[in-house]
Amino acid sequence: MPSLWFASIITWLVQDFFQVLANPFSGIPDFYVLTLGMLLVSNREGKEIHLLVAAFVGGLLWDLRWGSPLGFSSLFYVSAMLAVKLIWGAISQTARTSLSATLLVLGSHICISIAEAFIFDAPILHIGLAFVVKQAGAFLFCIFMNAYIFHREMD
Amino acid sequence: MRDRKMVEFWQVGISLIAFSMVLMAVVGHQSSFDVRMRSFIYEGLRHLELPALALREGINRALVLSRDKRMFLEKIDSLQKENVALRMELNRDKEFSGSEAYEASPYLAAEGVNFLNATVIYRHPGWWWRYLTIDKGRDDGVKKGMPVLSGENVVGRVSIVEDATAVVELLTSPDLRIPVIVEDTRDIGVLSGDGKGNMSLFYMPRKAPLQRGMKIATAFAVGNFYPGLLVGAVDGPEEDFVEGDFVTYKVKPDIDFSRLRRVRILEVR
Repeated sequence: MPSLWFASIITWLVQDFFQVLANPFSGIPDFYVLTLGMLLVSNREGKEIHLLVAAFVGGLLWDLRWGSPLGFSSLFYVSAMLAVKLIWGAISQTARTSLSATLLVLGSHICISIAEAFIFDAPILHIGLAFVVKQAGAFLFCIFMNAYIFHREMD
Repeated sequence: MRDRKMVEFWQVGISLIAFSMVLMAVVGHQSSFDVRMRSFIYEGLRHLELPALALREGINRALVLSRDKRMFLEKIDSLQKENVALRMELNRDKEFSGSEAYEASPYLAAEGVNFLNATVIYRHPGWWWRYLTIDKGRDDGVKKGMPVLSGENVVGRVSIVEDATAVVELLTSPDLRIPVIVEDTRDIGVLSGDGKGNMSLFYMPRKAPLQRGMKIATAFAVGNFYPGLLVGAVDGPEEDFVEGDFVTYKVKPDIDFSRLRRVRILEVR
């Protein structure tokens, strides 16, 4: 279990690092929720609840650091995890490939970004170039996570 | 066994969602608890964020390539400081010339104006046009109500002060209403934002219409706020601009509120 919490802390700090760099010009991919989502679909039986708690705590800390209303990001993060779990459980075993895992987690990330764009009227969240760059970054990160997780499983 | 784990997963998930909603409902945004907690987290993280800040500064420096350009920027900085002092002095001259108040108040030299440079440490998209938080606070001499500038233009006013951080309420916030004066006509009105990046000038007399481009400055000294500071220029009348004897005008800021990364807090000694 330490690896899960270690991965969570590192990813949260990486996300914070990029946010400091980009602030206040651009939004950055939610590396944290992408990592937790990929871990959730990588067949880690018995660790799902820890991932939910990590999503909640990470979201709460993100709210405290970056000025969202307390509970806002944790609500999105936990909801994304539940949605990923629900859809992942609904698809057949043969369809559970690394590609479908990537698409599912990326889909949840896009949903969070769209919801934020609708709720908040800020230029950095408008659906335009910044949005596409954010999703492209998320896609690259998912591929990286995918390669790492599934490579480890195959070894 | 597996089903029980699934039930537990959903129970925990729904409980956490409910708890998040309760937190959002109970802890008011920008409440003293909220700001104090955020300041505490920032204090804890600021050392871990130093590499990112150093990298950001490095990129900024790389963009300002030559020493000549850096000297040029320093010169602009000094001239802006002088301009602010002169503008405030000019305002005093126009308002109180010949009166006792004019004689009583000392001449304001550029040396009397102090800029406290601050970096924007967060600006949440939900309050993009209302608030930003800076890395200077009570320990650095920041006081509630102080004007916050970008270049020579006012961007807002310090609204909450913590030990190491402060929250700035922007001119584009609908909750901030500041008395302003049109420099050419000396008409006094109220400036307020709409929370969407626009600003309006209210209560201008209908009889004397304003021209596009007329400069608007702050009008009165209130607490730690000072008169004579530039806020923008008249951009034209609003769509439904006439209300009785008064007219509302759109105001065009001289700065880009979306690209604020560094600001200055004005202190007059």
